[in-house]
Amino acid sequence: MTALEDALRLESVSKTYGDHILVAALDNVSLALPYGTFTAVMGPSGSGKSTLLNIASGLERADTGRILIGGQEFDTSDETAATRFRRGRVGFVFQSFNLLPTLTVWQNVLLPARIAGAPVDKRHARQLLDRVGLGDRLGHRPAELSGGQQQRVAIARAIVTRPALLFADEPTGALDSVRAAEVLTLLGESVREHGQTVVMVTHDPVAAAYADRVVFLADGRIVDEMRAPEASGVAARMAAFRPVKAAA
Amino acid sequence: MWTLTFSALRRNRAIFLATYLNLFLGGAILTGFASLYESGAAPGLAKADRDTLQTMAMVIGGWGALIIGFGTAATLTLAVRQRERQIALLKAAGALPGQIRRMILVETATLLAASAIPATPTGMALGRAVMAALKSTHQVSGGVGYRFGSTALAIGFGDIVLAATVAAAVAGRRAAGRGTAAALVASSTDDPPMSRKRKIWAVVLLGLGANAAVMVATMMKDEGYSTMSVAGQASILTALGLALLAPVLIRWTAAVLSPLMRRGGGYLAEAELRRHSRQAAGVLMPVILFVALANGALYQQFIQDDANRAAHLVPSADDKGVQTLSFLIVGMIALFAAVVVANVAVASTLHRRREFGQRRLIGDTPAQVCRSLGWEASAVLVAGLMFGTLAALAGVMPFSYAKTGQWLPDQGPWVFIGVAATVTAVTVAACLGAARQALRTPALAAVGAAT
Repeated sequence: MTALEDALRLESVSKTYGDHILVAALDNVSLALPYGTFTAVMGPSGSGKSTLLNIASGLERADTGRILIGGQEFDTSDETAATRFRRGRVGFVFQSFNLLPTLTVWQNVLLPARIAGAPVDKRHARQLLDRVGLGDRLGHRPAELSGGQQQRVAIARAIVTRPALLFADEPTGALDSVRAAEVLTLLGESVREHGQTVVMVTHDPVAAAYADRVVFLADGRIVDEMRAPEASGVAARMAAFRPVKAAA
Repeated sequence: MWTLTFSALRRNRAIFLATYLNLFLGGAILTGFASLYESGAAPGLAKADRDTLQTMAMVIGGWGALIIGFGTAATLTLAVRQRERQIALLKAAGALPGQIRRMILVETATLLAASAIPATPTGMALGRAVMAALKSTHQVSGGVGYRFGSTALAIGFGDIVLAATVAAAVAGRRAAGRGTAAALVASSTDDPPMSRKRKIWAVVLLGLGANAAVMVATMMKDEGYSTMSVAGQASILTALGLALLAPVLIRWTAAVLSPLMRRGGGYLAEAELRRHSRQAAGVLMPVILFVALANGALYQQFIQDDANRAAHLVPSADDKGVQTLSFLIVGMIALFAAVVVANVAVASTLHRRREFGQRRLIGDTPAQVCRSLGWEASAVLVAGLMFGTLAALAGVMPFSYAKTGQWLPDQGPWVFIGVAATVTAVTVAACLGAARQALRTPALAAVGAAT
């Protein structure tokens, strides 16, 4: 498989935090994700899951290593360049939604295109909001919506510009199980129906079971992976981390 | 309670520093001029000396105390509003409304006490310098002694303490009275509409300003220097009334400018100005005051000078004195107003770190965030120059009519252009400087940090 066929490719990426006591958040991580796949990233707290996501999406800079998106190297040395690179290529769904409070649902969803100065495809945005079940809430402000609704707006916003890659950091972390299932189904659809590539960090084995593949991280390293995961198998694998960590 | 106060002071450094600077500068100016009053009240002084010193102190009392009190109150209110979320968290953790009110008063008192320490010697030096200037221009005889005692301190700090305490009590009551749940989500909803009380005050002040303006043009035509002081009041009262209406004025301005803003990358600026108009209104208030005060006082002085020249009068010592006095007052109070503009602009921009972070995560480059802020600052300046000039005209037009029979002064636009350039430079530098500072925090950290 060549780099061109991968939606995302990390090559020996490392990142440490701290000034005095260095903590390795990512330790020489390499990973390749083909187009049209749904990957879950799991691991105990502090294993580097979120760091992996932030670095892969250009929100944070790696100390060493290369990041390739669609075969092109992601230059994150300067915020403006990184932002321009991200536009249209990468969408991001945050655990805390990060919708702009002054804008309505409709304005929030159209915002990325407006910011990028790209043509605004209103018909597509409208269809997307209908599909996430918010077609009748276009004029509402985020504060007037429930958490599940806000997260569905955030997902619509992240995929409206049709990015090849969609990152989601604990997208169901603030939701109950019914809302979580809606959100996960939506992510799964965008992979199977629209060929998007989704990378999702989660600590929930049920959420991970929606993915085609689970990658396990511990102490900044990829330690295991599972194809076509089931919730019970994922939960068992996660449970196995605890004694290992305690022994170390 | 003390632990809370000090941790609050540390965590909200920008706004508390702004408040401190404000209290210090206001205290120094007011005690400085109050010491002239005290010196003038000394027993055994010649009547001419007493009049000169006390008139000077009283004129400051009329203009300065009003503006300094208002600026102090505005900054303190902003300080409490910026912490609505923190206060809500305290309440969620079990703090009683009374404890919240007390906490805000203790903080205010701490800042007042700390600002009085450097303000007292600065005020003393200021008063001494003005006294020396008065002596060297023979407006006060050389034998008059300088006095700085309890009267100066009481008058000087009295105004500031009064303004600060009232502002802290009002802001504290509002913060304490709000529902905890409502306050926790407050930052994500629209600003509440202006209160009835605020509207009534605005109308009362505008009415008083109009009354003063009519008096100048009719009854007080030939009353010499008191005409000028009433004309000054017409400008200041109108400016204060308009400043209270700032949230409405900024929404109007945003609506008028919206076609331009949308085309020029100010899409979010427009939404921000309309939905969170209080934020921009906080900056607009001191801009209106600065523009009204500087334009009003300077044009009136020039009209007076020209009128004297036209009457073939050789400027008397009294004229010269009033002129020095006028420029001194304008300079001092304008400096104060400019500091309030800069303070408020910096503190409220730094406070928006999280919002800027969210925009950057969605795909705004730092340059785009700055451009959008530039639009917000432009809207504030357009509104400030327009309504500030309107307030200045409320004093200048009747004064010009009373002195020359013409409604509009023929002094040319240079004073206005100078005032406009100054306020533009201060506002833009403060907003963009603070934005650059706020953008230095990585976007993820800015969004993650609890405010």
